[in-house]
Amino acid sequence: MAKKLKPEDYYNHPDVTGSLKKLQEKFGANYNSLIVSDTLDDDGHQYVNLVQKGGGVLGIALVGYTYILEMAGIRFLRLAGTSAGAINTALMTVIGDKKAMKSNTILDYLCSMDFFSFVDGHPFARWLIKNFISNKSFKTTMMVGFGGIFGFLVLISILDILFLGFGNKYPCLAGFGLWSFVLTGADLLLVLLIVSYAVYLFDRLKACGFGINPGITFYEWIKEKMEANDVHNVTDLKQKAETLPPLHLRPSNSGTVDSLTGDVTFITSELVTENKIELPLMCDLFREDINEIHPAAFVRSSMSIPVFFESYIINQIPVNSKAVQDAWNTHLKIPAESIPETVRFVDGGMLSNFPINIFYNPKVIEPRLPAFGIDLDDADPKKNDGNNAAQWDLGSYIWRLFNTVRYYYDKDFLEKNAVFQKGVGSIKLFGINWLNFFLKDDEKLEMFRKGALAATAFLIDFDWPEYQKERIAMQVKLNDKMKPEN
Amino acid sequence: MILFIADTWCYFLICLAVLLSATIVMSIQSRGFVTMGQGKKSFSIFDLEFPVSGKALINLITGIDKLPPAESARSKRALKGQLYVDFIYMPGVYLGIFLLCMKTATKIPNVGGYIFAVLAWFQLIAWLGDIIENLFLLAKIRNPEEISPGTFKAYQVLELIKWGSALKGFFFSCFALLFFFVTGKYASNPLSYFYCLLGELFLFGLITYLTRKVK
Repeated sequence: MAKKLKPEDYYNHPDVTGSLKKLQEKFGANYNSLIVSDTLDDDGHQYVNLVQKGGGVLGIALVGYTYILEMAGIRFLRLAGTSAGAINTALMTVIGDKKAMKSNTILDYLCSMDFFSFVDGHPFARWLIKNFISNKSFKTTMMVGFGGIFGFLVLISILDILFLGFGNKYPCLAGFGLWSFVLTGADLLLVLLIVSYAVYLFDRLKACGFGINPGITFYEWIKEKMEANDVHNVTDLKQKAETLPPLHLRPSNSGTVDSLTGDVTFITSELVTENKIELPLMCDLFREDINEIHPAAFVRSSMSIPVFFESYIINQIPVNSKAVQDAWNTHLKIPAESIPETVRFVDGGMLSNFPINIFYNPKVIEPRLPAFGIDLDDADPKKNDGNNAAQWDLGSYIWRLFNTVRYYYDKDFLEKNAVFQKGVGSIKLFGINWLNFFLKDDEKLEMFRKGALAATAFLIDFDWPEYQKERIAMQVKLNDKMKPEN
Repeated sequence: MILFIADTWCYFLICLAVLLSATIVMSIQSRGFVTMGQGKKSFSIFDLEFPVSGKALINLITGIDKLPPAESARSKRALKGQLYVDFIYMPGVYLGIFLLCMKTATKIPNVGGYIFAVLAWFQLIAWLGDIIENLFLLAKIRNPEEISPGTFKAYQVLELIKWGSALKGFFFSCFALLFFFVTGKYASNPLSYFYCLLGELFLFGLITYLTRKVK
């Protein structure tokens, strides 16, 4: 049996230790000459805001990336994430305080976690998903299997007719005819069982709101991790996110730390009112007492990959409560009479998989800290099917339509505010299926390694003064445009 | 082992009548099966017979109690009612298949006859399995405590034996009898029973259609 990986196996990987060495060579043994922010604590940690992109199991790479940032003395003031990014964001928020290094503990959790247990749907669905994702010849095997069963039915029906016809002339064939009929019955039973089971599974899927996996195992897992870190309700979560150590700015920065706050944001898509929901900020939409909802629900709702997981539903919203009505009006401009009693969440990545825009504050001219972003890029670098756009099959066409709609929101922000792109590091993960919850240990290690390498490359290239300069220029230009005379 | 039963088709028609009548009642009852998962959702008896795990079975049963009181009581009454009506349904279905298999056994010489006789006697095991299943479910509805992995495994095996025996017995004997029918190897008096069978099925279809909206 293969040895189970320990956290040391991740951070002692030669490429990971090599990355740190490379950074030390460039920035000094204690990374003293690495400057990424003007906001510091008393221990010399530099603070940044961090947004983490969603991407199913590719999220392991995020841990590799944040491990390097933390080792280089970077800590996080405001955190945001969607889907897998929300999971890492949640763990980074709840573990220890702002000064603490979190990635080691997260690695500990990763090593003791069975990813496949999150695929907690019907055993048949689990079997089907596992084979479709991890066995490339499975589709062909299935087609051959179905073809065999239906082909046999045709063949045996022809034999029935032949035995019946020849049975009159050659009575010895009558016995074969009887058993040929019985075999027809057996094959037909098999066909009926397959069809009935398919219909039953579809009905079940419908009853579960078209989600294959209930996601209960994940919810329980993230809840357990939150509670182990003393986060039992939304107030605890907010407190963890907001509690800051004493901070100061570099003398070169003309601002103050007074208005700096910490927070955490999970993005989810709400289907009843068709809105993007930021949690825990907007959790007062659903309850008068926000602590009635466990914060594990925010992460669970953010990672509800449609169809793969059941939607996350919040029932019994007190629509007649004044506080709830005010919240709907404030957050979403929805009048009291239109507040639904139930809301249904799917993956935040449907609307904003990389919510870096929430860190944009138009009141800030001179930034005190940058917004860092971790992008997960699993696109095939060699594939360019733009040349045969007219020949796409239906699947490719629908996938492109879907991606165009869901990516545009974040892309639009980055195009209009290009300076934010300078804080984004991209982890190239082509070749790993984002739904492969049956990852082997070496695949997990590989993703962590790629995350670490991407973070290293990013830190070497990142130029804080240039970022600051461009951010100031962008805001000055925007403010000019906003002047009444323009 | 092989029983020669006089008037097999007459007894079969009685079994079929019992089976179809119980089916009508049970299908009406099943329309009231509702439980609470993340939200309110309907379920079928198959969800109780083939649950994903022991925990899923208990969640489904305890979910009924999470519904508003009136709805919960209605759903539980429908579920218990169906399990009780199932005791009437059982002799109809298992004795019916037993008769089909035994009739086939009498028409086939040598080993073939014995194969169908074994299939016929297996129906009594399936019947016993169904009784145990219903008693188990009724006990779990009364007291939804955790199911041990061993008990759950035994429950799954029980279901496989029950469904496997019944489906094989029904399909194999039907197709064997179909062979005798198309080759004309049958006495002429069963034809009147055949017309009665068609009548029963027609009546069943008609009542099912008329009661399709009854809850």
